[in-house]
Parts: sequence; structure tokens; C-alpha cells
Amino acid sequence: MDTKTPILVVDDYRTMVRIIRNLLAQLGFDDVDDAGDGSEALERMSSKRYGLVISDWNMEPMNGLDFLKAVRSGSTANTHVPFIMVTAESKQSSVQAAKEAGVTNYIVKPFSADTLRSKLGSVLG
Amino acid sequence: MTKKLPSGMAPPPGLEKEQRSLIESVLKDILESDLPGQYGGHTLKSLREQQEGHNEDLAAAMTAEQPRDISEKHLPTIVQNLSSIRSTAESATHAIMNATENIQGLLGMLDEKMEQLIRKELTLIVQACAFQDLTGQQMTRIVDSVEAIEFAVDGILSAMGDKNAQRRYKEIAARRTKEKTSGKKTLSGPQNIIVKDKQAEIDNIFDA
Repeated sequence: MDTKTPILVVDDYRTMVRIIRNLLAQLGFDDVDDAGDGSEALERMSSKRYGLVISDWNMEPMNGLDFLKAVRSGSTANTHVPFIMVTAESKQSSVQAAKEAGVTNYIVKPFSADTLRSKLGSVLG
Repeated sequence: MTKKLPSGMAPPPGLEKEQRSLIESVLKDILESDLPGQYGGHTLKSLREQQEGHNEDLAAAMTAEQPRDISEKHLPTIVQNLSSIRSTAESATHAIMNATENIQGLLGMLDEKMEQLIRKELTLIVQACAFQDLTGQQMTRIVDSVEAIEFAVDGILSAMGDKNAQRRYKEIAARRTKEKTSGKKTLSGPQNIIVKDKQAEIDNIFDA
């Protein structure tokens, strides 16, 4: 895993942002930005190219699925960025919708550091 | 001597007109007399009036006061308490995270073996802090449910002419319409705090 990869963490719960940032720091990632919802994340992505997005689903005003669709539609220069959805939304239909929208991988809350490490490994190689 | 009256004060059905008239006349005499004992006329009348008063109070409580209490006192209290719990849990979680990160900053002072041991335990603490996010979402769903109950109660009170309830009903209806239009609060939150094996199920969807 290339720990120099710039990562954008998107979640409206500050606690979860802190948790993910903390776990990423333990894995050696230090180029980490965060945003409170999809709209704010798109603004950040318009001025910076990221190597990975880790996003919550249940956010307001722009939720994670709409954010993912906006990213994949080419609204920023990050159209093909690896995108991991981290959420408690675990209904099969929702997971399928995210998959069809182009999500790269999916982590169910609550998750362990090992799960995050494993998913990062599978997405970033 | 106690005089016993038949249960009910009206003549039983199926009587001839004359019989009915006679019984009504006797009952009227009893009610207007001042007989001693529990079935004495004034005592009976007084008891009946008292019971009618109780019935009116009960009806008032059942149909007006209690729903108003539910809407104006109990439901807002539930929402306030849940909000307080959510905010307290959030503050506590941030305090735990602060302490954890402070300790993580000191790990370099320890020997490698001890550092690894403590880092592993601190990671477990950080993971556990995710409870605040999940319980917060659960509470949001509960608050939504309470609001739905409040909406229904205010609807009943509005139909009974309660002006305050009509105002609240309109406010909630407007807010709900706005949320529906903007797409807010339409997503399901966590189905269950315990999502054991959910990750494996979802991995299977991605592997398919």
C-alpha cells in the first residue's frame, strides 16, 4: 500500500471522521482531508486529486450515494477515484444500489481496524 | 331498614304502557324522597350527580387533557432527553479520543514491545468510540418516531378544535413536506447496532 496516497474522508459525524483519521494515521497515511457531506467533498475534489475516498452514506444535505453518483458522473477530475462506502446502511438493496453506482468497496459500521486495513489493501493494492 | 332498588333506574323493556308508567312514577317518588340508607332519594341523587361529574372529568381527561399533556409535555421531554444523551455521549467520546491521541503521542517513549502492546489496546478504544456514531443515528430515528406520534396526537387535538395543536400540526406538516422534497431523513439508518456477519454478507455481493 502506498501510504502517500491522498485520502478524502467524508462523514457528518465528527467522531467518525476522527476515528477513521486515527486509524489511517496508524496505518501510516498522513495526507488525509475530510468533509462533512457530499457537497463539501465535491468542492474539495474540484481543487485536489485524491487517490481514495472513504465516505459515509447517511449525510445531509448530500448523502453518500448521491455524492458517489456525482463523482462518477465526472463533475470533478476524480471520476475514477477508488471509493469506499463506510456505513451502517447494510440492506442488500442499498449495497446493490451503491455497487451499480460504481462504489469500489463497502465497509459496514461498526468496523475494526483490521477490516479497514484489509479493504485499503484490496483497493490500493 | 334499607330499601333495595332493582339495578338500573329505568323500567325494563317489554312492559305495558301502564306498568311502565307506574314504575317510573315509583322511581320518581323514591328519587325525590329523603329515605334513610344508601338508597335514600337525595343520597341516590347525589351519588348519581357525583358519578356524572366523575364521568365528565374522565371524559375530559381521556379526550382533551391527556393528549394535550402528551403533545405539550411528554413528547418534547423525550426529544429533549434524547438530544441531551446524544450530546453527552458525543462529548464523552471526544474526551476519550483526546486522551487516546495524547497517549498515542507518548508511545515513542516506550520500548518497542510495550509500544506495540499499548498501541493495540488504544486501537480497540478508538474502534469502540464508533458507538457514538451508531447510537446517535439510532436516536435520530427514535426522535423521528416520536415526532410522528406527536404529529398524530396533534392531528387528533386539531380535529377537536385545539388551536395550539393546529399550529403545531401545520408546522410539523410543513417541515415534513420540506424534508421529503429535499430528500432529508429519507434514508434508513442502522438496522441494528450489532451488525455481526454483515460485512461477510456484503463482501459476497461484491464478489458475485
